[in-house]
Amino acid sequence: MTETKSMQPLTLFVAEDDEDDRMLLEDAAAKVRHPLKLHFVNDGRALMEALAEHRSGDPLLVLDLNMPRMGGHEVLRHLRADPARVRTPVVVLSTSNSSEDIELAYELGANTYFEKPSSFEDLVGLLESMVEYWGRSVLAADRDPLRSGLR
Amino acid sequence: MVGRAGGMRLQRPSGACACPAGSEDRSRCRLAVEASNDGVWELMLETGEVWLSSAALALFGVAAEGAPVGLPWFQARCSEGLWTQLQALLTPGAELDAEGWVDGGVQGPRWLRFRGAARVVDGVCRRVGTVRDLSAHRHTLERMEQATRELEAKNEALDAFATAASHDLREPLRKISAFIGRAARQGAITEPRTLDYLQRADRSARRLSTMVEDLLALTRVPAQADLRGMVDVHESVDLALEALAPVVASAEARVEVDLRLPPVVANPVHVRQVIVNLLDNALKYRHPERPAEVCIRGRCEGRLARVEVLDNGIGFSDADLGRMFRLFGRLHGPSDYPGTGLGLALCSKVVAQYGGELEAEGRPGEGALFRFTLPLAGEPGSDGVGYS
Repeated sequence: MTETKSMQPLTLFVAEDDEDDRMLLEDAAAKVRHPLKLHFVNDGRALMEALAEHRSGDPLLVLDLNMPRMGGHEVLRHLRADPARVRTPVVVLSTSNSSEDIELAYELGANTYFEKPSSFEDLVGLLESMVEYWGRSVLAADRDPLRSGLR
Repeated sequence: MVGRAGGMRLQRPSGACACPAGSEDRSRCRLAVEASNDGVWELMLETGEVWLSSAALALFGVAAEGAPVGLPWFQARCSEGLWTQLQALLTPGAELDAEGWVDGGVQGPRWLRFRGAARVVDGVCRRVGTVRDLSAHRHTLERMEQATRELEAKNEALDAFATAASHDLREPLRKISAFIGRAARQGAITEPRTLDYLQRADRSARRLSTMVEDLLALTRVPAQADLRGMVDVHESVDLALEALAPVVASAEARVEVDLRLPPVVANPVHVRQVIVNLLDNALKYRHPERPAEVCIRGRCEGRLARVEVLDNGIGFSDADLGRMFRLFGRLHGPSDYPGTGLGLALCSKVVAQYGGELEAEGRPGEGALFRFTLPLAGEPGSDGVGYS
């Protein structure tokens, strides 16, 4: 991919309290063809604070469910109650495969739910598919002065 | 205890028996009451007394001939709940069916059932009825309620375990695999022996991961089945075959389906789960020296559907039967045949929750037959599907 260098990096806000998973995500992001900018936060509350600061467009959010202070489900609840964040794409990335967790996440407005893969290649593939699916709309929103100006 | 109770006077009230007129009828009535072991009572508001037959008095721990006792004596021995229920008799014409604890004297508290009515006979209201000792029944009921409460608490604990396990047990396992994979593929480790060690560790982590998954699936089978669902077994078999199509293809197996079954009562996911497990086993334990042949057969048997999965695989001996159905029970090493040893235990539990059974028959070197039953949804044969 020769165009990689000229591509605008895609911003991902990752709420993940687990050190190992952050490391794996960082390594995997480096293997994705599209340049990614990962902002890690430790928990849901830190994510909400980071989002309040972030005024240029809709970043893609990657949410763990089990986190200290504020978990993923609660983040979704707060996020979807805010008219400015109704459309922010949210990918839940959790170890849990319990149907209760999955159903509740979708009910609260998650765009998609992924179980954390146990293979590194699968994690790279997962990030690739996120870029492919949301990259265009997220980047377009970032360039849209009207949408950015709303916040 | 005889005659010591406060307010008790050993005299029979006039005309206390509410039997129909005629001595023949009266004696028959008395015999019937005596035979039933029930006590007889009459509440006499005008004298402030309750007349109790000797059987009724015995329930209060008093050995005496039938006699009236003072209302305060009677009330003091009734539980508050029972006394409140007895108030219904104040209304002429009222029917009574009350239960509650009374002080049974030396025999301890008794649970009694009072049945009767406030009948107006010749312009006079007579409040009469029978009383029966239901203490034993009540104790059984209480023991059952206690057992149910304990079982519910255990189920809740199991649910909590499953929820915790679905996250906490799986997370470290996933990371072990992820980091081993990462280390092995980074190229830093070139020594073949070290690489082999890593791969072995990875295989074990994956196996443990599958075991955790299967164990979780087992804990998620509810103790009480949802008996509202109707399942077309033909469809479940089609879906199972679709899911296992790659396995069937790689085993070059011939699968024959011969089903003649009306719908069964079960959850479709459960039926498919059982069929997938049995079919997967039939393909996994195929004989190395002949092409695999599997037959899935289904027939009605009374009010049950009987489904059989028959194969020509390596089979098993009668001695192996018990071990097969046990948790983590395995007949072969994981390197010969992959698996967790939970599949049959899971199938057995799933089928049992609908009142069905899973059985197996095997002949070493010749093949195996797995048979399970599930209740039919409608009347047997009502849709024209016959019995065999």
